[in-house]
Amino acid sequence: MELYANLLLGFGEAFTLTNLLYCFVGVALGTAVGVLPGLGPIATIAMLLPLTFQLPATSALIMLAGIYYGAQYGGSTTAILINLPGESSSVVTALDGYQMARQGRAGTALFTCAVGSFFAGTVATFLIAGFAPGLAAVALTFGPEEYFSLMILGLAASIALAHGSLIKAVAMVVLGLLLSTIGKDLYTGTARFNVELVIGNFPIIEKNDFSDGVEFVAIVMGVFGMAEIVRNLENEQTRSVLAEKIKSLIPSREEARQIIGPILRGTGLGAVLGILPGGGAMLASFAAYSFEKRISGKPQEFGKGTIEGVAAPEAANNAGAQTSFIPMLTLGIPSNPVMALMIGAMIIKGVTPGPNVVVDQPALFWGLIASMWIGNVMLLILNLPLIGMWVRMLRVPYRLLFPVVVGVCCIGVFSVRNDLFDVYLMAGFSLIGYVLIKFGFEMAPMLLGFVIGTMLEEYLRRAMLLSRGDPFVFFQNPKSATMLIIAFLALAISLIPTITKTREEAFKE
Amino acid sequence: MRIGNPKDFFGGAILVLIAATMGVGVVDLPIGSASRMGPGYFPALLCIVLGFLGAVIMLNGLRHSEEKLERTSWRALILIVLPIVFFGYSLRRLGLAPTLGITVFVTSMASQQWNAVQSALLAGGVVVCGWLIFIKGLGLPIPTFGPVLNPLIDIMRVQASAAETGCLSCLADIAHSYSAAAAISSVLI
Repeated sequence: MELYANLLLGFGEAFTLTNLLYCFVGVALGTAVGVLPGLGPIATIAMLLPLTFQLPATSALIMLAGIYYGAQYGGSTTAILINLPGESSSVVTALDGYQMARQGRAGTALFTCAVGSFFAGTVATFLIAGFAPGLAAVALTFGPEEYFSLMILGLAASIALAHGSLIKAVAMVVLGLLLSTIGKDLYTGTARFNVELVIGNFPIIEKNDFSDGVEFVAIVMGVFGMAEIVRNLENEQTRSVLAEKIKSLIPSREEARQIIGPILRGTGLGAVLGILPGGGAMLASFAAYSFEKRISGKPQEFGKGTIEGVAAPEAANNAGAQTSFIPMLTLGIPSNPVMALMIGAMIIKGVTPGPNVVVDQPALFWGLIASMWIGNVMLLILNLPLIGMWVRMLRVPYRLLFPVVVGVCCIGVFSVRNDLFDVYLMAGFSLIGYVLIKFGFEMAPMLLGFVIGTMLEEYLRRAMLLSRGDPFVFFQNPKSATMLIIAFLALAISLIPTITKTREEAFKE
Repeated sequence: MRIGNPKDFFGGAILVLIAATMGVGVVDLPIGSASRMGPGYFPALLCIVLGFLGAVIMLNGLRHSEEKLERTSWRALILIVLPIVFFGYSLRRLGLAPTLGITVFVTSMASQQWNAVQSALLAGGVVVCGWLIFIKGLGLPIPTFGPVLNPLIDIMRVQASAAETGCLSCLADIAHSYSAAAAISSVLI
């Protein structure tokens, strides 16, 4: 019953003209960004963060969220039509989807994607609505030890699910934590790492440039936006847009029957994997495809144009994208970089992320959830009839796209604090980010570490204060101990050679 | 000492460097004890862990492996990072329009399929949209054309009014403004 009242509140909030507009802008932008290879939701959300200052918190989050799950829809369009996945989560969709297009069944593939994603989105919305408040209520009983261990668990899980070398991912998390300590110390107000760098007579870093810490938007834009652009330019290729003609959209009755199972399975798998830190849309789609292939009666058909190979990952990536909001909204822990950005946006708007959000800001919480469903409806409408338009967008060459991104990021990062130093910071982090990526380090764990760092330290200090310096308190507390053990297991398991090979294979595909 | 895996070796080295640099910054801070952690405790702890991990990765890099460093595109790197630095330097001096325009134009050269005319048009478009969104729309406190360009603006203004009135003595003013233009170069440097 309370669920009903809450949903009513949410829909009331989401159905205002402003919020509907921002939802539409968000999902439309998201689709566009998903369609365009080389530009992803992370960079787009980072670019739009400064613009959301003017907006109320709910509208800002609605729009930014729309970009994320909208991108999952858009990415599949190009994956199917021209074998170029616009989003990392659409890579598997291209495997069978493009083959279907070449067999003249592009319309059916696109329809399957849209319907599957819509179903998954609806289910995910209900899951969030159902579980989140309960989860938040449990979290509210947590003391500092449990919070600390929960965050460690979150970091450990995201490391375990990260690409590439485990130890490098851990190092990146630590680096992110270290960067977050720059600035004022929370308890004593002492300045940390407040350095000055003057070469000759030329000030590079002035006296109080670091007094408020490293600006979040500067890091994100530098490391995820600019460094990514440089990487894209290294592998620059011309794209030939050979869109296949799209015939009918509606699948045959036989096909419609075939996609029910995969959509259900994909939704379930995606919903679960999305919640896991480090999970999210991409992992969900990969897992759903592999699973579907494994349980299929005809696994050799996969990769040649099976409709199941399209339905399952598409449902999974949309479910995963939405359920990844749960840890962020209920516990204040980001499960992937996009959620880290959302947390950043919330902090900028003055909303402290954590279990309190459900209680203190019900309009924000339920409005966001309701708008997710509305967004899915909009996407269903946007994606089917307007496909031609999206495909035409692909003709925009990357060489015209990326300078705009650079320019927008420059003004954007400046406008956060009206501080030119942030622009230099962004340049610096583009360089650092590029170098680190070149040496095989992942940026996502660093961002997670950076966002969590302040909270982690706070809970650590508080717990140690209460326990008078006894580090074993984390193990004496049962909930905390459980979480730490799970964290340890997660890391340990991913170190086992067989698992390592599976990870590599999974990520290589 | 043969470096089998340059990625790991140099990657780890960078981490050790970062840990050491930040470690230097931490030394001054009071560390306190476990029960009453000073501001330096957590950063110091992290520096040690990072340095340790970096060393492990470095050691790993001494083992032979097939991973080679991919070739770097210096063109892309320089033409993305430097325009950003230029942007920071010039925003308040030249104003939004020239700075944004130059930044977008120069950075577009990072692409190997660069086309001068298209880039120029693109830069123009971005400047107009940027002006609309950020200065008109959001009211950002940056001048559209900065103080360094003021002498140039004065010249144009004087020339325009001289053309209107056909005034001869105005020519003297123009000469005066041109000498002020010499000031631009000195201010820019």
